[in-house]
Amino acid sequence: MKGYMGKILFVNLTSGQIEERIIPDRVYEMLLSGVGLGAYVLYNEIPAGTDPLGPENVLGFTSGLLTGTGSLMTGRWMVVCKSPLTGGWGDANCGGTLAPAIKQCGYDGIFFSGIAEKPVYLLINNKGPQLKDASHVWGKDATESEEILRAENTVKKKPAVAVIGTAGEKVSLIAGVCHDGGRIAARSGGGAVMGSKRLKAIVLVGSKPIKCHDPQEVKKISQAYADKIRKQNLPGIVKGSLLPLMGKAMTSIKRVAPLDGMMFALMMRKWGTPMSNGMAVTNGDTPIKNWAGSVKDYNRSYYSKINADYVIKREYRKYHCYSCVVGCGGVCDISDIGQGRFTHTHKPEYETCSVFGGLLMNRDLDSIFYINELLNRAGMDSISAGHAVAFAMECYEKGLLTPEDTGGLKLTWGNAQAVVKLIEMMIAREGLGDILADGVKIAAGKIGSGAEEYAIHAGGQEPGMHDSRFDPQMGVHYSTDPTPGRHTIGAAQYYNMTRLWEKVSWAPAVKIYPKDEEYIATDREALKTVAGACYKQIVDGIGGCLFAQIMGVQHWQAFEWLNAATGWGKTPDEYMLIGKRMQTLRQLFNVKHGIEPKSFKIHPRMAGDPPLKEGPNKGRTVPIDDMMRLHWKHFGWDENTGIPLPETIQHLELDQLVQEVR
Amino acid sequence: MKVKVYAPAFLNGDEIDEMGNLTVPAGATLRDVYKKLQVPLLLRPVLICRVNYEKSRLDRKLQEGDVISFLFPISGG
Repeated sequence: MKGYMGKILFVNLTSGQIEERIIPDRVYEMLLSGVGLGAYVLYNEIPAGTDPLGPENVLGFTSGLLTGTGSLMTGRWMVVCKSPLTGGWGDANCGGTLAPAIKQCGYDGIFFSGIAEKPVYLLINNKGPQLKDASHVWGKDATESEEILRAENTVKKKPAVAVIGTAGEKVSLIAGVCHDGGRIAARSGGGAVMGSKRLKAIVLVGSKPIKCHDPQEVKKISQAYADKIRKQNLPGIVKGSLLPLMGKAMTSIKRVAPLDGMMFALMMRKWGTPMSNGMAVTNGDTPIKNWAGSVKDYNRSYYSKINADYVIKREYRKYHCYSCVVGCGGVCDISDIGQGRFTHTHKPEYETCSVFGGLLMNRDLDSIFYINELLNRAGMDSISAGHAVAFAMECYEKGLLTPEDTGGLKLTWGNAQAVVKLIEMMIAREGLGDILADGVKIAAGKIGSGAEEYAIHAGGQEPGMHDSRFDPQMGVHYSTDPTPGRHTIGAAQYYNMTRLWEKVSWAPAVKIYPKDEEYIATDREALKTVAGACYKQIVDGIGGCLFAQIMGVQHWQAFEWLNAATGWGKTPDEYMLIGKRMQTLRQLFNVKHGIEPKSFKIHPRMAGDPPLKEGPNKGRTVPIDDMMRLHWKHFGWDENTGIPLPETIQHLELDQLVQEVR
Repeated sequence: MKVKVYAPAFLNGDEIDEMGNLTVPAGATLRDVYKKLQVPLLLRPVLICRVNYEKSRLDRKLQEGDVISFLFPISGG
């Protein structure tokens, strides 16, 4: 009765063997669940040197420790695997309704090894787990497959389904795992691993209760949080056109203040993440023109066309993930786009709008809606796909790709029609699309002739749409997280709002400070990135939402919920030690698999080498080597190599928990 | 008495401590806080401010521990 179910399901797709495994309480107390449980299982199960697309790789779906306990915004599920994109630790997470479904089937995680002889899906219902033939949905897109599998397996309760689209089937290394008609655990190439195993889907229909230590206390904390959120509504006079002005104002202030994350909910409830579409262009957060441009290029005549108001104009229904009280998602009518091929799409996130907007110099919002649905159905990561297109455009501009290479497509900046066509080619793995469908690093290797100069990535994964020259902490996390290139780990903006210092003794407190301080490698800045990374592990261990996290520890009370759900009575400092242990185990996974942490350093362009000549980030450079070194040092990892030190491993008791670490 | 203030960087936050607290006299109003923060007169009608996460008038009398927050730009997603 501590919020977790205490066991996992392990499926060998080669032999068809399905077994339940008990997980000792000690594992949860040391690594939580979610990504921590995944790290524990994968570290033990995947031999060093395993081919990520081979039978020995293990693919896991895990739920959060707090999911289903009555806590709020803790309904995210994780995909974990050895990533074919980076060669190291891979994880991605997603909202929707799958996380509670995993636990209602009686498990904290469902893991797969081996490769099925023919396409299969895993069904768990009241008859228990069983592998079923998926030939009839193989070749169909994720949304259609999900509808079919859901209809086939609905008796009383509607199943929760995680499924790959055709991108995963074709083992595109930038394929993710889809859910709920357009949500996607997109990063790390988890969809490619699923496709390589011929596992089309998991279909979950469980009804087991999720019990915790003190449900009344959990409820009390939830009530206080929900009461605050429900009051957050923006006055109607605040229009999307004001947002770019606010972004512009940020650049003129030159100072940064730690603000109240609860106010973030005001904008999230109205627009969702597209609130940043224009604002992040004007303040310098959105990378423009394959990270080589600025708002001087993607100026008002461009960014005004992707205004947040235009996005929600098409929204006809709000969408909430499980246990969410914000509801930043939505469903949009796109029946008048693309000759009516699709009727609707999930509201495109900021990441998708900006990667297919500013990064490509595209101002055709309709094309972004259409691409959003194409990618959601194919199960392809929009961040990586957009970067692959930007890479191709720059190669085309520089003469490394010719019309002959592109199949006649004119890959000029802002050519929306060409972008749509190229995305279709990537999904179908046709021509140039086949090369780009494995991400920019591999594509650059195939194109050669110096193309790697235009391949923007960290350790093989394309970065999120947040500029490290605007927020250097973001660059540190892009470069040092065991899953590189992720925008969801940490940033100065996130740290300042999360306000860890209010509860964690060693997290540096923040008052108003000059923006310039963020560009200097100091022990203090490093402690912030370490604290941010440790806390994010806790969030990913409990199934938490990033947007809840950055509302602040004074509002979204993860530590208090954890104690109420488990009865452990730990202090925030003790939980942060768990976060450090989780992150260190993920790093050890990479070391085991031959990754040199230094190789995850961001592309020089992302660190301001060479510096931009225009825009809000003009002249900004990020001392990324020094910042990585200090981050590693304060993690207790070798500051020169990024490898966890023996004394750190001992202090974190990882040598006792994971046999091989000894 | 102390109230907690989350002030944007363009305001004068010199008197706010690291835990975000601002000391004001008993009986102070939101307007008094605006004065301490040196909120420009022109901005007052357009700034979105909440006291304890509720809409409030400038003449609202503050209590010990009240939380004053301003809407601010942040990009995310």
